[in-house]
Amino acid sequence: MSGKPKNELNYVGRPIVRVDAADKVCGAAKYINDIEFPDLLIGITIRSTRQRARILKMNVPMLPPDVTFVTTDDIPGENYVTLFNKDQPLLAKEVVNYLGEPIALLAGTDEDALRKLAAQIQIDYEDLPAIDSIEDALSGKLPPIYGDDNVFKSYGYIKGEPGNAFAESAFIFDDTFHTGYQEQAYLETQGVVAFPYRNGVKIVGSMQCPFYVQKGLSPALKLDPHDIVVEQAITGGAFGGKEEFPSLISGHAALLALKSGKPVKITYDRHEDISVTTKRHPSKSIRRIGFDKNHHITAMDIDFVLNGGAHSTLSQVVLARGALGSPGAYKCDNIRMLSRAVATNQLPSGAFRGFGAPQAFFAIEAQMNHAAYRMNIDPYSLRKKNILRLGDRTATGQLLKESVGLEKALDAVAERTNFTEKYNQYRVQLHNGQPLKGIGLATFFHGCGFTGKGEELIKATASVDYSNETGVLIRIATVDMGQGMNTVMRQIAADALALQIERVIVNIPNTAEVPNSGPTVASRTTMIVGGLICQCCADLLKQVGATAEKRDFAEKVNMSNIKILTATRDYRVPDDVVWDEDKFIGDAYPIYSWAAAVVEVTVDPVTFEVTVDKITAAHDIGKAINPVLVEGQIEGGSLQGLGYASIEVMTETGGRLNQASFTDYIIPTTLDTPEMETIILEETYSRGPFGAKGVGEQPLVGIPAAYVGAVENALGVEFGEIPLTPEIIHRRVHRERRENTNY
Amino acid sequence: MSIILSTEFIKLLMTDNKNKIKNLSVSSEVSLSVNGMSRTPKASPSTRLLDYLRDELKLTGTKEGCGEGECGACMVLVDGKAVNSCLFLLGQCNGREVTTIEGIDAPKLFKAFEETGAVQCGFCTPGFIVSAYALLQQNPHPTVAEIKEALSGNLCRCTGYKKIVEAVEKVTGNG
Repeated sequence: MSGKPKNELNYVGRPIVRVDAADKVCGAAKYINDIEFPDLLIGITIRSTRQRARILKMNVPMLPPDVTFVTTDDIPGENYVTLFNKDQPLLAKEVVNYLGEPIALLAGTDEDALRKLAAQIQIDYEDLPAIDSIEDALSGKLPPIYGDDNVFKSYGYIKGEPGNAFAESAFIFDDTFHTGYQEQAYLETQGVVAFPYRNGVKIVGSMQCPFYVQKGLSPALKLDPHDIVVEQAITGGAFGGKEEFPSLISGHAALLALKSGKPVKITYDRHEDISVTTKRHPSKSIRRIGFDKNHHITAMDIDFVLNGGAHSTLSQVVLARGALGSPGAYKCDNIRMLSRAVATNQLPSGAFRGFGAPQAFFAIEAQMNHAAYRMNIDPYSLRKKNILRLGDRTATGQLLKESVGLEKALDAVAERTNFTEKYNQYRVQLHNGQPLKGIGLATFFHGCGFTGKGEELIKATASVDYSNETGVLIRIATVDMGQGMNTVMRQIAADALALQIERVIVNIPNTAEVPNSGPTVASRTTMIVGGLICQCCADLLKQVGATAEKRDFAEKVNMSNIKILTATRDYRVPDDVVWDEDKFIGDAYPIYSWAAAVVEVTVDPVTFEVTVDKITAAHDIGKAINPVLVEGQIEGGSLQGLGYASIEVMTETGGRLNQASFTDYIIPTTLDTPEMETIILEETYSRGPFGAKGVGEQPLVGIPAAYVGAVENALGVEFGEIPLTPEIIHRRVHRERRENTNY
Repeated sequence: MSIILSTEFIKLLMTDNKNKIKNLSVSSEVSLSVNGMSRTPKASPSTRLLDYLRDELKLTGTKEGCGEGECGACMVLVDGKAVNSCLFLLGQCNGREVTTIEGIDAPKLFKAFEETGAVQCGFCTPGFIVSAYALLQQNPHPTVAEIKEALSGNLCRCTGYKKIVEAVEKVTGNG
């Protein structure tokens, strides 16, 4: 496969300035809201005001002739958005399952007038008993929202003999952990424009996966996929929030466009965006862990539940990644694991950077920190005894054959921060009213690419075209949503062909112009799609008998009589990567990235306000194609992880989110941002392009447990939930003090 | 400037690109300068400055991220001071000088943002540039703490801010 070419690299491994930076700094880059469309109508959405109810009647006033009104009656095909299941309607018909569920649509020229009309549309409901929590969902007492048991998906396995292993353990610890919602908070809200086009419709918008939109809408619009042309506009951040959600909003815009015959734009303002788009799944983990007298893990019992909300969306794959992460980055031969994603009458949860792993790793890593405290060993030493190394097998039995930089990462952050010394010192610091110091640690991994059989199902395809006149054209469906993918792909192609980078361009992601290289998700793009680009380039060299070492590609093309060269490659899962989804055994991912992070804090002993002093993170991601972009991923992801752990509070009452703006949903600013030190480790992967693995999601994953560990180290009190706010710390510390003074 | 559009899309744009400004009450009471040009807006004085800039003047470098002054994506200069244009009404700009990202001439600052890696999705970037520019005009040699303070009204979800602060530091000559 790709491997490492022998020629000198001019671009790979260097901080090449991103190709789109110049347009973005001066405000010239056009996002969907900046592009003008002739005769454009604005579309708005009429939503459920009930959490769970039967729709009895919709009373619609007389509408002006230039206003387009769409209900389920206007859906030409079947009323669902295609994803894994057919449960999410484009518009609710008989029942609504969450507050804010779309019911009808309006389009016209004047948004204010549309809002007034929308307010006059009265919907009569008959309320139904709502399922409002994970506990409700599993109680069996309320009519299920999904299937017979209200479980979207469940994975579980028993490995070894956990019962016996616990019986023989020297230490056994039980813990319960909770994690809350998290909002992606991309700075550009959701937005698409749809207009009638040839035999169907064209959709331009802010999104991660143009082919998801095409495939997702084909049954509903009753159009062949090729009659739905989808093009990504420059996208102002996504973080998973523009993975599956744009299919729904695109469907709405398309229905309005097809009925009105005009271009229709739907953009959400921040309030609507926070209120109705998908969030990170809240979770609950009930865990037991056993250790022998030498502090080696003997067994784990894991019950991991995700709140999927009202529709299944991507919950099953989020759950799979969470389930695979839940035993952590440790050797353990005896595991009982049960994981479930359940339905509730709440906002559908969906994709968000990390995809189930942040919840699972928070639980295992916080439990390891608790275990260390209770066994009177420091968290670094406990991990040293238990982490996965080259030649070990993962929880699902996958043999780690290469590129395992976990121990290096652990040692790097521990040495850099003087972890053990500080941890032991802070553990016995005086509580005399002075600010308290704390330090916390987490080790983690992220499987690169789709989980299990995902890559086999997607069968990613990429093409590279070349002529001496036009240069290189990379044709992929991969989007640049801020991570810098267009720049990375150009670096890869330029070095693979030994050409100047200026000779390489990346086609705009448009389903009528590029093959389906798969969605831009799952930390898969550099490794999988970049790998295909490398292979395509190798094919091009071969077609004219050129080599990258001799740098003679252009010359050889000149000499040949081929004017336009093209190469296309499909991704094939390597034969030795074998995964059994039913039994949950085998190679869950082709390869893993590995990481360790240390968070250092100062806690105010009176207000319990936590100041984060420093994050030190080491990430083994294989070859860093562009070190500055990699640092950007690590720094940005770490800060999102810190927000998730500390200040990003999102709660709901009766299915209604209590936060709906940046005034009440707080994300970190410059003043909340600690010093960050990033250590990049490059344990190369033989099958990745130039040895690259994935980096996008991993930085977020381990920060929450390291943060909570640091607060625990400062206060000597354990916590089991994120976001861990000063209020929660205050309550817990005072309870602890009361309990301690009672004897 | 390099937005790539498919050919049929460009045709569509060219066919009937009439001005679709909302029919707001015409007022000649307000006159202001935008990026050095005198303007008498058609829009009513109660229009948000942000909407006037984007809809009437097509200055789309100023972005709307939240509409309530939390995110700073709509930051512009009014008489040299950085303000959220979503919270500023056109009527408040009478006789004043508005500078948007399109009117900011700061090649060193732009270059520092590009080369340091301060730009990812780019949606927040013009707002950060405006805030940083306003700071440097007032205080050419700010400390890191002063830079962080000056940029604390701008949200970025991609970068973790480190490279943004570093980019500004580079321009100060302190960094």
